[in-house]
Amino acid sequence: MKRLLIWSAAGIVLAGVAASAWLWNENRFAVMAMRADPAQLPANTALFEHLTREGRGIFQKDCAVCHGANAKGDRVKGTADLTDDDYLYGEGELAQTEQTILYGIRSGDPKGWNLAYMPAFGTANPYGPYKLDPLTPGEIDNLAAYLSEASKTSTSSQTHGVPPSPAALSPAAQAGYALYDSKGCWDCHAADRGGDGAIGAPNLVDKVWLYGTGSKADIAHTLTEGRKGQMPAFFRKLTARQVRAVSAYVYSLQSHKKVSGS
Amino acid sequence: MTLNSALKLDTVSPHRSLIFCAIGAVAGLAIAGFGLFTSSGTRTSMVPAQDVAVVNGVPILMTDYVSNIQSTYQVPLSQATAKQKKDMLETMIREELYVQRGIELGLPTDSTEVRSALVTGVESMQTTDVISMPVSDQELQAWYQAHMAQYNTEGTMRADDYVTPDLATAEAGVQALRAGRPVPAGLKKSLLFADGNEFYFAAQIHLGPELFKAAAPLKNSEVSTPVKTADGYHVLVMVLNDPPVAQPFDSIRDRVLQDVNEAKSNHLMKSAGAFLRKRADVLIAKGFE
Repeated sequence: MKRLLIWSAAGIVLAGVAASAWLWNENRFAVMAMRADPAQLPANTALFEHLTREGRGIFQKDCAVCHGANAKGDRVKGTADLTDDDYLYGEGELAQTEQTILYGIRSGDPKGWNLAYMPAFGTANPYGPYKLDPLTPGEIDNLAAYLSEASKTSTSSQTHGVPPSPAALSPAAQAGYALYDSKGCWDCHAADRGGDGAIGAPNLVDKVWLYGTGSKADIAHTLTEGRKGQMPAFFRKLTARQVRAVSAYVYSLQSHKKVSGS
Repeated sequence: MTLNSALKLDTVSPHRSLIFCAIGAVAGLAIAGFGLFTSSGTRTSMVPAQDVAVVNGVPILMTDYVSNIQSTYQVPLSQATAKQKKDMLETMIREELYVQRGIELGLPTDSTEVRSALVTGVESMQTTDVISMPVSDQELQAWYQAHMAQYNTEGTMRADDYVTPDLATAEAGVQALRAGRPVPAGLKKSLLFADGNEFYFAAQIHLGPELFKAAAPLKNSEVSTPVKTADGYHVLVMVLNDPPVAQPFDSIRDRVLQDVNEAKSNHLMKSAGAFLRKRADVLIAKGFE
């Protein structure tokens, strides 16, 4: 009986030591993962891979419902493709992804992205926060023609717009080209049509579309009805470590980004 | 002599057992007392990994710290100088201390700005909670079916508008237009629809309520009967009338989602208000019930 007690006690002590060692290692990992500069995380291959593995499971559970299991997004729902090199907000840095996951987009959280949305130019009051004049159906048609042709023929990069010369466009698109300037579209989408990552205004002359396929009809629909997509704030649903893990996973999906040794 | 026999562990001793129990009880009470009655006793001895600091038990998130450094100094954390890091941390600690001090001083009771900010903050939190709950496609479809009319297209029209001061000329104009003949001299074409098609909301403003009411049911190429307004008798020839039609669900899914979330948010705020009222002890002065 005494021997049993001694062995049981020894077993309990060993289990306690093993648990403590595991907890210590977890805490050490957590400290390394959470205290690191997010920008430097991809360079730490072992740590980054560990985070990515953690993040994959969380992504499938909490993010795939909107962004898809393959993270390619959905052009009907207007959810972004997370694997490409086009970013509505920021430049796709890990810290920026974390902020977006934590506080959302038009989520109601004051720290979320909430600076602007696409006005509905086919309505009497296109934009709630301040007065904007609506467009006529003809103006919407011409703008849609311009943007559809421009995106098909432009050679812009993902961060800078290079709109084609107006001479290369159809007459309707040329009229739309002029409307882009006269109706103030440049105020959000920039004079070079390259968009503004600070407010989530997309590049209009690349080949990436959040809604639809870039057809004239799809663009006209967006101009008429407006767009005001939302992303939830996960601040109270995910822990900070889970957010970092998901951000690392999303970063790892972008093959154009150098993951190790950068 | 073995260790067991030296410590007399091979014999049962009630006296020793009682002593050990007493030592354990005293030690436990001492630890509990230290924890309960001293602030340092309740203090977290380590800063959790996800925080950069803890101020009176309230954490300052590492992600917020990194974000603030980036937005203030335009550099990532690893490139910030020691002074920049220190200054930012001091700023954030100071902010937390002042928030806590403000609560101690009763600012939520006394300051209008603080009260407004708190109300807005609680309402925002309710909206955030609603938006964070996934909405199924079935729920969206059900909402869409129940509110289909509000998702119709706007409708567009373009018409030629003729105006004359007298009814006889207007009636003659109607006959001429329907027969494809030139309009009488006294019937002048107005400048309405000079820019081409207009959305219904714009046409309603430009035509006015009586003319729009006459225009809306006209089919393409149809000629209206004379319509009297303040500036004379109008005859409309509809060039293109595209009335509002239902939009397919997929094309306005994002709007439906926004409306569903807004409705849930409003419902939650109303319910939360009722709940808070119900559990509160509210006394109202006589005569002001």
